[in-house]
Amino acid sequence: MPGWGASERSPVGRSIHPMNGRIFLSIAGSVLALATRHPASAQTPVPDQPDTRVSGQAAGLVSERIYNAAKPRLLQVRSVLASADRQSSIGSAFMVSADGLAITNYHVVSQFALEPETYRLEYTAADGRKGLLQLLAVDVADDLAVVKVDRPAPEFFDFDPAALAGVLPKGQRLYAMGNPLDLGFTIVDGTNNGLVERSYQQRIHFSGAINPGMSGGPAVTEDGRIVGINVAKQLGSDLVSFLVPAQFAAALLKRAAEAPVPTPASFQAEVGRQLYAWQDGMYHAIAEAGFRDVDSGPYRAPEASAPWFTCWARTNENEVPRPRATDNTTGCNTSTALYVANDLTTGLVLMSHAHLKSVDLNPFQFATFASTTHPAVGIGLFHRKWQAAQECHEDFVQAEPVGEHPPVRVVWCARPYRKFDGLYDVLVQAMTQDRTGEALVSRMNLQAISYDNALGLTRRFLDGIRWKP
Amino acid sequence: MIWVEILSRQRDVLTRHHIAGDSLTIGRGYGNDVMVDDPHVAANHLRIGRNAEGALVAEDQGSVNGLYLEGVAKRLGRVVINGDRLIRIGQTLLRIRDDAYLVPAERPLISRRPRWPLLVLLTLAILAIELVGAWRGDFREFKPATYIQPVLAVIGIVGIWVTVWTLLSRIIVRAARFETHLLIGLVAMLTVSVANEFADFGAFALSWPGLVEARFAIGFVVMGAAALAHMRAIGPGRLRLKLAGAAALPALMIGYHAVIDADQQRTLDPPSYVHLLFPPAFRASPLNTEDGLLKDLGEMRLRIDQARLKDKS
Repeated sequence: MPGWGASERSPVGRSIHPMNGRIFLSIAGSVLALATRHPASAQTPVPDQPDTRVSGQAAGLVSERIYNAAKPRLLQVRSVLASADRQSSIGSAFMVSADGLAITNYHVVSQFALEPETYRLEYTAADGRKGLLQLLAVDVADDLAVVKVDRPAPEFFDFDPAALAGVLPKGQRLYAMGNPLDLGFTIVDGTNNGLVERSYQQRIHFSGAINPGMSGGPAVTEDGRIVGINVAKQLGSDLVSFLVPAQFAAALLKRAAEAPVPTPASFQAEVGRQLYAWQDGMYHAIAEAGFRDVDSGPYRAPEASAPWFTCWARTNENEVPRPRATDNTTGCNTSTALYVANDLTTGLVLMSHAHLKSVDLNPFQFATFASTTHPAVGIGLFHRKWQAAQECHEDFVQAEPVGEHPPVRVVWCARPYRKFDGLYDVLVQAMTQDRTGEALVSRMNLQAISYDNALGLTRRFLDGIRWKP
Repeated sequence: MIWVEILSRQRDVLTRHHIAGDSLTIGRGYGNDVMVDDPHVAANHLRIGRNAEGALVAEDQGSVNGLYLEGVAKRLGRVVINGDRLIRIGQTLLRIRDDAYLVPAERPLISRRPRWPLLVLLTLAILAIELVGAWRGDFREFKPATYIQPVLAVIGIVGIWVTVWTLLSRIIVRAARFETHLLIGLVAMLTVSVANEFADFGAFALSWPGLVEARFAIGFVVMGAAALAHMRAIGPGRLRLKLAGAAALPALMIGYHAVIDADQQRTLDPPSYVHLLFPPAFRASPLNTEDGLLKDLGEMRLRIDQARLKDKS
């Protein structure tokens, strides 16, 4: 799941690849955050899925019972552009306490959290009642938020104890609710398929038809208890959807209930703090998991051992016309994609190694080939709104001990985040300088990383580029 | 016997009048010996005569716009003429000589050394640099266009440049001086080509991306110098004005380029590293250690953070 893109233009159709579109997007599709924007265009038809599941009368009765019980506990959440008094994005939420606390996704309330002077948060209940929402807490890493409605809630959801303990049986029938595409409150049933594998972020794989607008809605068991929160679906797939496990919501709820009510203006800094803490955790985990060696021609290159990296390879050997230098590239990237705002997804880590070898190029042509086919480029879109100007440093570097490492030319670029202190998008590229017709071009992209973590990983990365003994 | 010559602004003789006797009058009226069709000349403007020593003397006959000697800003009532310095009435330049004026000796018809071998040599050197450059960067399958395009581009640029100067020369001094202008154009192009090569190599060798950027500045400075040479080839006068013009050209272009660059940096990432690489043998800067690199990167952090704070406000 390389990207959560709540695309402005087509909420269901468009995927935004954070990898600059130029590399091996062998991972199918992309994940779509489920807040919908511009509901008018949300009418983009979603192909009908033939329902192959056994949906007997009993199942129908269950979902009818669940929905009737849940209806007064459901909310539609709208981000309203204050100056125009019109909604700019919609999602769902559900009540979890008698005093009016409700849970939704962070990405449903992100516009208000980051720009409270421009947006306000409103809710519409199933009975048509409307009111203002107060934002109490956000959890960017797990895409959750706690909001409070302006009236008490006599009916609310309880968390499922098995879900809180993290022992949900695979195959269990779950029911997801929300307001898809602003069409009205809906209940869909599906299957729990356990936690997504090879993912740094814990998500439940839910096989059910979740659609934009259902973000922040609850997914419950047959007895109506919360097991997860609708968060995303995989583009280019059938019924592959994702839930945030309930225990994160319970933890955030506890934090929100205990802490004093924050001011709306304080959330931007809070988002920055959470991003900083999140990257610290993830990059330390990557460093702790360590690097393993992969052979790449006469070189040995470092590959992250952390289990949530997905690796791929490609070659240019079969291209037409026949390439005059071979390019065998392997790479690994995390599927971490942190939704910060509708035009900012971050947190991706990518490492790649290209072994280039001349077939009939002279040394000059080979150097041009290497620099043209493997330029030092960053990943993700550059938004001036979010990022300040990038600066690069280049140098020829010899790692110690000299006999083990080839000399490399290093290009190191960093681009700071404008609104979040201490975070940078960093690019490290190292090209070996020991041969004329052969080279290893190693690249590492680190999104939303602290400078110190970036320097630490740079050292580990350069230390890992060695000659094969 | 007196000769009156009316000259153009470029000092070409437009008309030549031959007057018998020791005095004559010049003006717009029909009663004059020499008539001048210049609205800024009086009907009876000037009288030419001889003084006691027998030298020719011009005398203002009470005109509004007066009598001037070339190179003298002050209006004069009476001027002794030596045959070489021009006088001006209204907007008309006059040269007055008597038949005793000594012309320079005959210039022998010596055949100059032909210039074409040098021109051909320069052209070949430029094309060679362009072709080698194209070949050096050609890692795809062979296509003739890869090599024809840079050659045509160079020929086009030099051709247009030289043609413009030749035409200017022809208009201003009535002499095309094609060979001279072509020589200047070729030398300028060769300088730019060589400088670009050095910039590309040097940028990689020294890890100095600024050199690639400097290519533009070098190009415009050479252009300014070439313009000065062309102007000098057209005419030797007004050196200061020409120097100012030659300096203004690169200054304006470099300034404009800087503005465009600054605009782009606001929307795009500046290309702050060398993009075109060369074989490792061309590295000239010493190898840094990992510790040294990380120290440099730590210093870079301060710059980045300062730029960010500036950008934030």
